[in-house]
Amino acid sequence: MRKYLLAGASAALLALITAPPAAQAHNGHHHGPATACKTTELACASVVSTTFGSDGKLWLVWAAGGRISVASSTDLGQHISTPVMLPKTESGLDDGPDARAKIAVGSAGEVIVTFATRDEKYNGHAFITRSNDGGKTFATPEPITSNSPSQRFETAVITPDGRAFVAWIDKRNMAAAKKAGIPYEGAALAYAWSDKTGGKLETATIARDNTCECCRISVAFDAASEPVVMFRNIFDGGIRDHAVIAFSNAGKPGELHRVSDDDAKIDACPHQGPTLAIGPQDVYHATWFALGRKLKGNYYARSEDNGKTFSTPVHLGRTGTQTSRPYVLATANKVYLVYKSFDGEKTDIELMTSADAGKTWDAPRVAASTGDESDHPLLVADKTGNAYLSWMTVKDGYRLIPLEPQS
Amino acid sequence: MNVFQGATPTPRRRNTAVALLAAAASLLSITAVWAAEPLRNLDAATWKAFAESRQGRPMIVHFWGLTCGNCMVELKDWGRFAAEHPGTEIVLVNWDRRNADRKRMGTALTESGLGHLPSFALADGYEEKLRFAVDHDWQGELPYTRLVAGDGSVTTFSGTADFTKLTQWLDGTIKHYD
Repeated sequence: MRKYLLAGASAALLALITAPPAAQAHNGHHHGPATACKTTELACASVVSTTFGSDGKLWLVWAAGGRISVASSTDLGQHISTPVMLPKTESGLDDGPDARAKIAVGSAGEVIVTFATRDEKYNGHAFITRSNDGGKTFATPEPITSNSPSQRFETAVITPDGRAFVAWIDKRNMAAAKKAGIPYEGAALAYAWSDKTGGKLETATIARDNTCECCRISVAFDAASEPVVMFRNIFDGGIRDHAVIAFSNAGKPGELHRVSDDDAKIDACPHQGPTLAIGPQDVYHATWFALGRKLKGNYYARSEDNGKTFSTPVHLGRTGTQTSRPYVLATANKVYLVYKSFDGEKTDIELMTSADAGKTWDAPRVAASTGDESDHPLLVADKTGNAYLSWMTVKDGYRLIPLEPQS
Repeated sequence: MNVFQGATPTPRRRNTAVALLAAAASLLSITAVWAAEPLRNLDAATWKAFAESRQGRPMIVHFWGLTCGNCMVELKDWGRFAAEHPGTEIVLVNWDRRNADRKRMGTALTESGLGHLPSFALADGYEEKLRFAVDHDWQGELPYTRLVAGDGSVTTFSGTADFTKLTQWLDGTIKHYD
């Protein structure tokens, strides 16, 4: 067991906390101290999610000032369109450490935004809204289910044929079990499809009971354009290790496959969900945070058999740097992997790339840095395969950083 | 060694004495509504002064969050434990980030019988630097607890507590929680 001297920690605490608050501008977006920034503008957002449309337009969604805002950029984030604000929600927005509004754009230009709120009992309520006019206006947000005690970490994707698939963590079965006096661990993985292009969501279905309730999930498309979900499952004995489920067979959940044997027998909220990317030849790329008895830290593994088995996990980062929030992206030619690294003052986003579908990786290099707090690093690619780091920072504002020299 | 060892909850004895103490804790929590400690901003000055004022005495620092289901489930257990060990320095640190509701935190603490204990919350909702200062290897998972011994040595564990072990640590029958 490690030992630490409280006096040393306190001195470090003093040195760090007395640092002045950040205030500066980026791309014209002024950003004051976090506590003073209360407006709905992008600069006041703590988390920003992005995606590219098939026309190369960058779409952004963020929560700030208690509202969800949507905007786009035609010049890779240099200039942002006038945001469209969604209606004010009855309850406060879900601003947990792994929660964020998300956006998906279909090939026909349809835009879907999902987000969640938390009521006075801290139950989550997930909503979905659509735009069929290229993001100019959005329909009134609708609950993703008609009745559920708590939903969080909703994630929407749009299939090539224009149908929406939404997956989330759902507590209705937990609530029912509690009411019946039956033991029930964690929550459940739920999903719903839209019935047709641009249509309403069908009734929600539970794909898997007993999942971890604290972490975001990740959805990627396989070669057959079927969504595959990676999430923190609860295996027998209360082991909270990761798993994947492919929604094959006409959109129904297939078999559950374990990603790794971390042996995470712990009743804690990691607040760090996984990421999954699927590249050419259906190679699965997974990253996750392990807090098990066998593995602890951040890891990458790959699968060549549709998630049935994964390679030996590769540890990411270095000890003592608080490596966190790994995120993986697979393009036609290359796999990109980033994670945060923190030295007590400065956060680096370290980038690794693989040209052989994740079999080997080049040495990590620093792709971006900031001197203060920051959002999770996200990776996005446009339809031509150009890859970018999408990163919201307190000190430097929102940044879209090309990961390769642009032609 | 694995810092997560010892996180497995064990069945807690529910004897008559504990039931009485729980009842007492419940009464204390009602009292605490009127005498709750205000949530202090977790900044260096207050933390340093607080730690220094308690040097040489064992202290338990428990990090919890409204966004952490496991934390909320066991918060009343911490209230019972505090009531059973009235002379123990127990400090609560709320680790909810961004726009966390102080009023809700206060209500959760008082309803759990913890309203009379010193409590901190993140000063501005951001936590990375503070977390690094608390422990280079802590990834922010909750619940998370630091046991500071009288000699200043620290043992940590993530996950729900084993209160029997905590009592043994306080009694000095075990040096480390694990």
